[in-house]
Amino acid sequence: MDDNTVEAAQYLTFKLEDEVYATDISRVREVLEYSRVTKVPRTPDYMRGVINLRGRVVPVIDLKLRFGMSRTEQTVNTCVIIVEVNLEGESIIIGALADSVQEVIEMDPSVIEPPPRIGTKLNTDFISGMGKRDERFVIILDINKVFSGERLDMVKATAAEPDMTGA
Amino acid sequence: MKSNPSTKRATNRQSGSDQQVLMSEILRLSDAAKAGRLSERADLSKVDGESRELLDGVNQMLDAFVRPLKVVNEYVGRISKGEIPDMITDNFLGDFNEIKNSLNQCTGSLGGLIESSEVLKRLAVNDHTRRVDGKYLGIFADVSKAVNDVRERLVHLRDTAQNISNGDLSDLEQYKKISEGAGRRSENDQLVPAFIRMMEAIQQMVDDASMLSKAASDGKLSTRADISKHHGDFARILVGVNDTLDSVVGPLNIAAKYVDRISKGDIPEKITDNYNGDFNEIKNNLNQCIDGLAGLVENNIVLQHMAVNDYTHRVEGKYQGIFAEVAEAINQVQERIQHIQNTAQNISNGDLSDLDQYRKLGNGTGRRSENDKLVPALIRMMEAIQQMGSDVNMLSRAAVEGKLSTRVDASKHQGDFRKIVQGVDDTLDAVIGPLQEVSKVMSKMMEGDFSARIMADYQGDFDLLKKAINSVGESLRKTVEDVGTVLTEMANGDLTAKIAADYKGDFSSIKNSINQLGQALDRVMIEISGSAENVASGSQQLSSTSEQMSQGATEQASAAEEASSSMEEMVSNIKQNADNAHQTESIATRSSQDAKIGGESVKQTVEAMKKIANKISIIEEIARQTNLLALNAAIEAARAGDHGKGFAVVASEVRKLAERSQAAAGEINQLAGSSVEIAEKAGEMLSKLVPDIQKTAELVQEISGASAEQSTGANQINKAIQQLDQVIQQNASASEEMSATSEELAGQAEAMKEAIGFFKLSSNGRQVKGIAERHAQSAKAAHMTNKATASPKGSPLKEARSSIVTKPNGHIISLDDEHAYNGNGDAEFEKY
Repeated sequence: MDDNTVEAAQYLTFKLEDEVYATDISRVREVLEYSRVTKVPRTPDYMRGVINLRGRVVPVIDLKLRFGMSRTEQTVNTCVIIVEVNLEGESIIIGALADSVQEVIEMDPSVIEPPPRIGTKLNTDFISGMGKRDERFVIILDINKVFSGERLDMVKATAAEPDMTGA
Repeated sequence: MKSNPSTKRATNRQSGSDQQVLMSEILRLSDAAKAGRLSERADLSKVDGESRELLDGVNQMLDAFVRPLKVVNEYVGRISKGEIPDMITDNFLGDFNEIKNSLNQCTGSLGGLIESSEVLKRLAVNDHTRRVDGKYLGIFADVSKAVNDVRERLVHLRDTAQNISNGDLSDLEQYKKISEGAGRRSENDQLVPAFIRMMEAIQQMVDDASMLSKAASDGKLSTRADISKHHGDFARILVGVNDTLDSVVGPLNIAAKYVDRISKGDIPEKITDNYNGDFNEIKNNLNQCIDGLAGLVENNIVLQHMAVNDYTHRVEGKYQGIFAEVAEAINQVQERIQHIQNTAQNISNGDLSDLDQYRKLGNGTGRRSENDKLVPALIRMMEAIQQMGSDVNMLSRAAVEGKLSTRVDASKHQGDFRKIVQGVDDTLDAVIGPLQEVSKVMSKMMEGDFSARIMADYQGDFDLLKKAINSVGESLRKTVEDVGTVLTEMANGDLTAKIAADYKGDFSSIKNSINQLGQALDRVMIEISGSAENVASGSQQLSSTSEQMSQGATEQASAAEEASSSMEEMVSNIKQNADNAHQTESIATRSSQDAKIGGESVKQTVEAMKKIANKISIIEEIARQTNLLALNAAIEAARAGDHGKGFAVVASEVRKLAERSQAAAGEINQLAGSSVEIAEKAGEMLSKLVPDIQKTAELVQEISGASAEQSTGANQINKAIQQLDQVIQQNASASEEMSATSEELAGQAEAMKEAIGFFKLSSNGRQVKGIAERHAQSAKAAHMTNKATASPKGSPLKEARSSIVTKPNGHIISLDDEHAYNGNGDAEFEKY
C-alpha cells in the first residue's frame, strides 16, 4: 500500500488542539472512545498506559506530548486511534490519543504538498505531506516515523509480545 | 483390909525385902489416907509378883472408895455453899448407892427451903401473891407453913391498911375482937394493938374534924378542936386545922366589918393588909367593891353637875359590873344632853343639818325609846324652822323670778313663826304697789305714749324712782319729737335738715346718727346725680360701639360661611382620595398574588428546560456514538479497498447525519441553557417584585387611613366653622340688642337725674369731685367702657364711686364697696 501515490488515497483526519492532522487509513485499525487506561510504571510521560483491546494489551501514546505539546485533556470527543506501526520490520498495534477524530477523507496526491522545511513546530520527519482542504492544511503524518526512534523502545518492548501472538 | 492381900503375897512369893517394901508402901498409903491424901497410890515398880498384885489391889480399892467420896464431897460442898445441885444420876453400888439416895433426898428437901426463900423474898418486897405450895417433910414442912402464915397476916394487915386509906375503919371492931377481946394474937403481938391504936387515933381525928365542920356550918367560928386528945402528927394536924380556922376567920371578920360599913353607906378605905391566896382574892374583891362604890360617888358628882346644866363632866373611872353599867348609862345621858345642847347651838347658828341624823334615830322612828318625847320635840322644832326657811327662800326665789304676787301661807306656821311670815308678806305688798305703777307707765311708754307719768305720791326711794321714770319719759318725748321733725323734712326732700338741740348720752348719739344719715343721703344723692350723667353719656358710647360690633359680626358670619363651603369641598376630595387609595390597595394586593403565581410558573419552566437540556445531551451522545460507528465503518470500508467503496459512502452519509444531529442537539442545548438563564432571571425579578408590591399595598393602605382621618378632621373643622358662624351671628344680634339696651340706659339715666332733682342737696354735684378723687383706686369696680368720654367734667374718678351693672330690665345702682367708703369717707364727712 505504500505505492498508491497515483490513486487518490484515503486518510483519517483528527485534531490535536486546533490543527487538523491526517494519517493513512491503511494504518488505522479502528477508533475507540477514550475511557480509562491502566497506568504502567517506569514508562515515559507520553505513554499514558495500556488498554485492553479485546484481550490484547495495547499501549496508548499521547501524541501531543510526543509532539512537545501540552498533555491531552479528556473530553467527550477524546478518542483513541488504533494504528498498526511497522517498527524495524515488526508490526506493532499502538493507540494514539487525539483530541477528536474528524472523518475519513479522500485526497488526490495533487493537493498534497511536500512537508515544509522550516516553519513548523514538528520535526518534519514525522510529516509525509501537507494536504490542502477547504483552504486549510491537513498535516499528514507518517505514522511509522512518528513512533520510530529509540524512544519507543519501551513501547516496542511493551507491545512486542502481543504483537507476536497477534502476528 | 488393905494390908491383907499385899502381906499375903509378900509372904508367899518374896523375900523379906519385898515384904518390907510392901509394908512401907502400905504404911505410906495408910498414912496418906489418914492425912486425907486420897490420891496417893502404891508404887508398883518397887515390888514384883504377889506383892505387886497386892499393891495393885490396894490401889484399885482406893480408887473404888475415893470416887463416891469425891462425888459426896463435891455435893456436900455445894450444898454447904447454898448451891442446890442436881440429883446424882451416876450408878453406885451397895452402900455407895444408899449414900447417893440420901444425898438426893437431901437435895429435894432443900428445894422446899428454896421455895420458902423465894416466897420470903417476894414478901420482903411486899409481893404477897405467892404461897409455898410444895409438899415437904419435917422441918421443911414447918418452915413452909410458917412462911404461909406470915404471908396471911401480912395480907390481912395490907387489906386493913387499904381500907383505912379508903377511910374505912370498920376493921377496928374485928381487930379488937382478936383472941377473944385480947386485941392481940400473942403476948408479944404489938402489931395488932398498934393497928388498933392507929385506927382509934384516926377515928378521933375524924370525929374532931366533923365537929369543926359542923360548928363552921353553924357559924360557930370560934369552935376549935381539943389538941390534947391527940398526939404527934395527929396533934400537928389538928393544930394546923385550928390555925387554918383562925386564918380564915380573921379576914372573914374584916370582910364582914367592911360589908357592914358599906351596907350603911359608909365607904371605907381600901384594905391594905397583906393576905395570902384566896384571902387576898377576897381582899381584892372587897377593894374592887370599894372601887365600885367610889364609882357611885363619881356618878353622884357627875349627876350633881348635870343637875345644874354642867355637861362637861363624864364618869371617867373604870368600874366593874353594875358600876360600869351605871357609869355607862350616866355617860350616855350626858352624851344625849350634850348632843341636844350641840344641836340647839347649831340651830342658833342656823344649821339644821342635824335633823336627818335625828330622824334616823331608833331605826327611823325618830326616837330613842317609846317614851322619848325629847327627840320628836327637837325634830318638830327643826322642821318648823326649816319650813319657815324654805318658805322665805321660796319667796325670795319668786321675787328673783319676778313673781311678785307669790305669798307664804301663814296658816302653816304657828306662834311667832306665823308673825315672821306675815311680816314678810306685808313687806312684799308694800314694795309691789310702786312697782306696778312703774310697770304701767313703762308699758304705756312701750306703746309709744311718752306722755304717761307717775302721778301718785311716794316717799324715799320710791319717790326717786318716780322722778327718774318721769324724766326718762320727758327725754324720750323730746327726742322723738325732734327726730320726727328732721325726718319729716328729709322726707320732703330737704337732706340738709339737722337736729340742733343738745342731748345727753345715747340721745346724743341718736342725734348724731340722724344728722350723719342726712349727710350720707345728701352725699349719696349728689354722687348718684353725677353717676347718672356718666351713665347717660357712657350708654350712648356703648350704643355706637355695639352697632360697629354688629356690623363686624355680620361680615365675620359671611366669611365663616365661605370657609365652611370650602371645607365641605375639601372633605369630598379627601373622601375620593380615600376611595382611590382603597381601590389601589386592592389592586396591589391582587398584583402581588399574581406575581407570586408568575414566579411559581417561571420556576416550573426552568425545571422543564433543564429536563429538556438533559434529554438533548442524550441525543448528542447518541449522535457522537453514531459518528464514531460511522467512522469505524468508513475505516473498515477503506481497509476493504474497492469492495468497501459503497459501504464507505453509506458510512460517510451516516457520519454526516450523525454530525448534523450532533450539531442540532448542541444548538438546542445551548438555546435551552440560555432560556433557563432568562427564566431564572425572570423568576428572580418576579420574587423581588412581590415584596415591592406588598409594600406598595401597605403604603396605599396607610394613605387610605390617613385620608379617613383627614376626612373626619375636615368634618370637625367644618362643624367648628359652622359653630363659629352661629356664634358670630349671635354676637351680631347680641351687639344689636346691646345697642338698643344702652340707648334705653341713657334714657333711664336721664330720668334718674330728673328724679334726684327732687332733693334739696348741699351742692350740685361738683363738690363731691374731691371725694371721688380719693377713691380712684376703686375704679376697677366701674364697668363702663368709655371712661375717657363719659363725663363732660372728665372725671373717671366720679364713675369709680359707683358701679353700674347693665341688665336688660333696667338699672341697679349700688353704692360703692363699703370698705373703700369707710376707709376714706369718714374724714371727708367731718368737713360737712
